Amino acid sequence: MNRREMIAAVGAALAGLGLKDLVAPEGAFAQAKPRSGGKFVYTNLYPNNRMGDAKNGRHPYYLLDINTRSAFNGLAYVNDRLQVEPELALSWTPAADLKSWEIQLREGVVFHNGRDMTADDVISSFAFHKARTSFARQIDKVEKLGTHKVRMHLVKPNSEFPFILGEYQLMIMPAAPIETIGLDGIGTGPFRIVDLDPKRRLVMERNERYWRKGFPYFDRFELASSPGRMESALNGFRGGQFDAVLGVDPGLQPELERIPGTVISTALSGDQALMILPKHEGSPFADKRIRQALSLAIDREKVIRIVYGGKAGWAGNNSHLTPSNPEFLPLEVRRDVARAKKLLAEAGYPNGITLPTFYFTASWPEIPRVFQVVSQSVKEAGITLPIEQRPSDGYRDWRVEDKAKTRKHRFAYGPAGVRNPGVSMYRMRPDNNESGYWSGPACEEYMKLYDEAVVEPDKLKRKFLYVRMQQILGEEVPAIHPAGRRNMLIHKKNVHGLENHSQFWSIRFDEVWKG
Amino acid sequence: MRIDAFALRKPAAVMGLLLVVVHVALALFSPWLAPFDPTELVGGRVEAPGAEFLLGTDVLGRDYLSRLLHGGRMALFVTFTGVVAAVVVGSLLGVAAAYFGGALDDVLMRICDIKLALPGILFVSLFITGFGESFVVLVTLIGLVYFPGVVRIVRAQALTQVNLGYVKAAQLRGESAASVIAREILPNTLDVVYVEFAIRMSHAVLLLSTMSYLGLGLSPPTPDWGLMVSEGVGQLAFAPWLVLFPAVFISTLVIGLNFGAEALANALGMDASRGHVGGT
Repeated sequence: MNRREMIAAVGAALAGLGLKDLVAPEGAFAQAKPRSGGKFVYTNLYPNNRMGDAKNGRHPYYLLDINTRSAFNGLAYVNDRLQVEPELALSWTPAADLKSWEIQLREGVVFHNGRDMTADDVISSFAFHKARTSFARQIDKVEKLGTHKVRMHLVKPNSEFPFILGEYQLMIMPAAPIETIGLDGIGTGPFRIVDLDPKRRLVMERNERYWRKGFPYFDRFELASSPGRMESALNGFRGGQFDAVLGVDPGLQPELERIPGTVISTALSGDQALMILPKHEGSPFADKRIRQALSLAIDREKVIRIVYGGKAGWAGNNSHLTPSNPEFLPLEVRRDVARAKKLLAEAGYPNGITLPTFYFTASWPEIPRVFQVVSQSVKEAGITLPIEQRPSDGYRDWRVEDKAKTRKHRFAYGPAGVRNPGVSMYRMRPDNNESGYWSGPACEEYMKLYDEAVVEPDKLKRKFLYVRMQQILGEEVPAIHPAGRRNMLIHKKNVHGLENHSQFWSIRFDEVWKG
Repeated sequence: MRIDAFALRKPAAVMGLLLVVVHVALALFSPWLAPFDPTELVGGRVEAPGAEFLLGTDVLGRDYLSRLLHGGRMALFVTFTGVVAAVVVGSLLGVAAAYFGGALDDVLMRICDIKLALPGILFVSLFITGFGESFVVLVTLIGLVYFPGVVRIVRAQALTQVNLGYVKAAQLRGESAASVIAREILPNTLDVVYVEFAIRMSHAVLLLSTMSYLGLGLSPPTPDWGLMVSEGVGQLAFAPWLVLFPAVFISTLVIGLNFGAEALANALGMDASRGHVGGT
């Protein structure tokens, strides 16, 4: 036996004993050819509030959020770098005015019931979506140009319209009357629904006719829904009940790294915490200097270090954009206590200020921790920030108060998800509660830039406009985004191809397999 | 009211009263005993118990011992205030219902029936959702949860008094209803009231801890044992002391209160488990 044979023999023996990590790093064995068959079981900690009023859990509007894409497909897909790519569409071409988009559909796509997907299904699906979700209301009508070609006419020009086609609810369903479309749970996705116990369990089987040839790998796919029940999910994972846990509390990263045989996958970003600053008469936040002082007093690094274990968080820049967005502009100055004190003194509070109570709800497990650190860190600048946790039920309506009459609302938290800048930057419009009903010359300039951006076909020019808009938000501070999470999932070492996503609803399971 | 001192010397009674005294003392003196401010971020996250932080630090790097000591202060203060409100209001209404009878008695009893028919946790959730989690709301909630039970118990005890000779004599002397209630009936229901208070205190400590655990109780960053258990559960596999220590504090206080209530009931010749006068 020569040296090479000796090494190979020892390696094989150790691998046989389950000690393969001694002789080859993780990945070396993972290079093996993907294996088809078997079952994948995971649990999901993300909440799905829509299931509460679901009349039929199989519909993409009610199907456990993160699984919509397992049973259905959209015309487009948004990847983790927030780039939009075709899915059931093959390509799209905008008109010069960006008010209509011609969409070539993929041919040879078959629904779970064996019927071909055509332009009629797209028209029927969007007739439903237009009636049900604000994302689709910008579509005026869908015109059929051929069996596999449509033209979408928009109410207003939109340079980023393909991102809308990637929204997780805007799935393509077999054509049917608006009252019944989608209720059978039939889509074109990699798996078809076998059994669904709303809020608890979903069982799916491989779609043999899936348009992506060779995918998916698993025969069976099971989900146990355990929103917020972190400890039971981790126990199930440790006990071998689950192959993966999605939506893990990012603050647990340092501890999870110590569990043997666990792979942690973190996305580039995820939801961020938004502090909505009311600007109605009598509110201290009507004064820009107090908003600026509060933003400068927050120790964002401390939030990331303590709440997110240093790795699973990122510092917000007072806009809805996240590090996943290529347009994201980090704050120039993250913290300046001396300047915060100076601003407070100029605003008439040389001895510090006690702000109104800030309210939040634990929409994510770390949210109470985020605001406890925020509240402690601003003390250094002489800011007393009382905080109070509220129950999740009815939180949003309670927070917004009497919008119609006085635009008075509470100093409170709002969750902000990850989307393209066209959608995200629009959330700071003056008539939206999240901006605290911001107004004034800076707001007008912001909206003017936004109007320019949505009709700007050139991506680079659009990016420049978005950067300028973020600078305005950084200077004016209509709202504060202290920090955000990087979505985190864990899986067993023998699970391959499972990638996390900043939009947790966009995780795909097509290419996942077990070694 | 006759007190059987022997009942208070039983080992369980001594242990119970001792635990309560220790907890009350820790709560009262926590600002001086706690090594750090309970909300200050003084250490690294989840540090194990050691020389610098005797009971370690929590998920935000706050000294756990300081939070535990201050946690008792809040638990006892909120529950004491809420239970006192429940017992005072419940006793007055119970005696009034027994004395006046008729429509007042019927209305009060039906209100109590409605309240007692509502599942406790549902009532708590609805109340917190509607009114928030401030100190005043929590005290009011504890008062509302426990007053119907007190009304029924005190009414039952008062009903045994209203037809007795000394009450009739007072009425014949022309004393006002308020005077008869205050001077004749209430003093003779006090033994029931004391035991009710002790029993309700232990229930209220558990209720507040449960509410905080479910996110319906005291709001962060207030140090509270139930909240600390809730915050520590996610770390159970990695730092079990984060759950263990507050659980021990809750348990010892509740055990102490239960033993204390039992001892008090025995000393007054009552059955604490049934909450009314025994038959010996």
